[in-house]
Amino acid sequence: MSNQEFVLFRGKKYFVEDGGLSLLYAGVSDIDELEGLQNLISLSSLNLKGNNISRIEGLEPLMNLRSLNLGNNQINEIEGLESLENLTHLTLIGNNISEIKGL
Amino acid sequence: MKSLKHLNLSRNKIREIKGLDTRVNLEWLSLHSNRIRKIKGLERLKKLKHLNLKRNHIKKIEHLSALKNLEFLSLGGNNILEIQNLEQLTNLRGLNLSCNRISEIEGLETLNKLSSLDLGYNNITEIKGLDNLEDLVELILEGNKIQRIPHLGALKSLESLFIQRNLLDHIADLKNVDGINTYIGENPVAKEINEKYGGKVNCDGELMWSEKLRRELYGYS
Repeated sequence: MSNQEFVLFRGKKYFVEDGGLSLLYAGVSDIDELEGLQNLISLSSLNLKGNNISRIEGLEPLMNLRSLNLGNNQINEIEGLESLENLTHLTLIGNNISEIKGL
Repeated sequence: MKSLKHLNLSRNKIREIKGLDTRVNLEWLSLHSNRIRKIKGLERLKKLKHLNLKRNHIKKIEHLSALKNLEFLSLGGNNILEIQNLEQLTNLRGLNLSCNRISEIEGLETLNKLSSLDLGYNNITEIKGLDNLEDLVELILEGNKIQRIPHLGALKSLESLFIQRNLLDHIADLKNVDGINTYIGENPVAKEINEKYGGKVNCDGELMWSEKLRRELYGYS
């Protein structure tokens, strides 16, 4: 399937399955930066919980995203999510957020 | 992000509820384990069904009256002294006020859809103010200072009563919980039952009835 969407992390490809991408279940838990997310325009669900992400960025192109889990990371600020008009489920449990904004 | 329905910001360092007033489609919101001192900024979230504000620093129940669709509310683990300002929340089915500093059961009369009520680990001395709660299935009063169990006949749906770690000392009161799964471990009366009446209080605190205990309570042989 040459048109299947994927991200690249440390040289390895992780494919989107049924519209969702969950890297924790793929055994990845030390992400600090992701490459190639901007290509996943059909992605509806993204689970990046339990990593070392400190900044929410690069998600703007994911216009079809409905569910986003960034729980247990090192995020200080809610940002970069305003354009995700279809987002219905957002999980930011266990971060360092001190202010509710950017929603 | 107008579409947002479900938002979980638990276990962060949030001090103030703000910036949510335009997220009017929110149905599920959790802010548990933050540093919130005051309930506010939620008035416009009229679709909210589930609100979790557990483990914060809230002293007063307030500014929730507009949330008429609320079905589950948790304010456990705060510094609340009084049950108040909940009268309008008549769709509530689950209410958790455990681990606060509440000394009286009051202000719940209008909440007749309530099916689970958790008032565990407060300073309650008396079971009262519950007579209208005909749909109540589960009542949690563990870790209070209750001495007596009154007649609970008005609670027609009650299936389970958790009243471990209180000061229950009247064995005759157990007639009032006949037919209800009752957990009475770590009360003076539990010791008495185990020693004298061949009854049994399980290791998980549940009262197991015996013939001898029934005979003692009802006087038939």
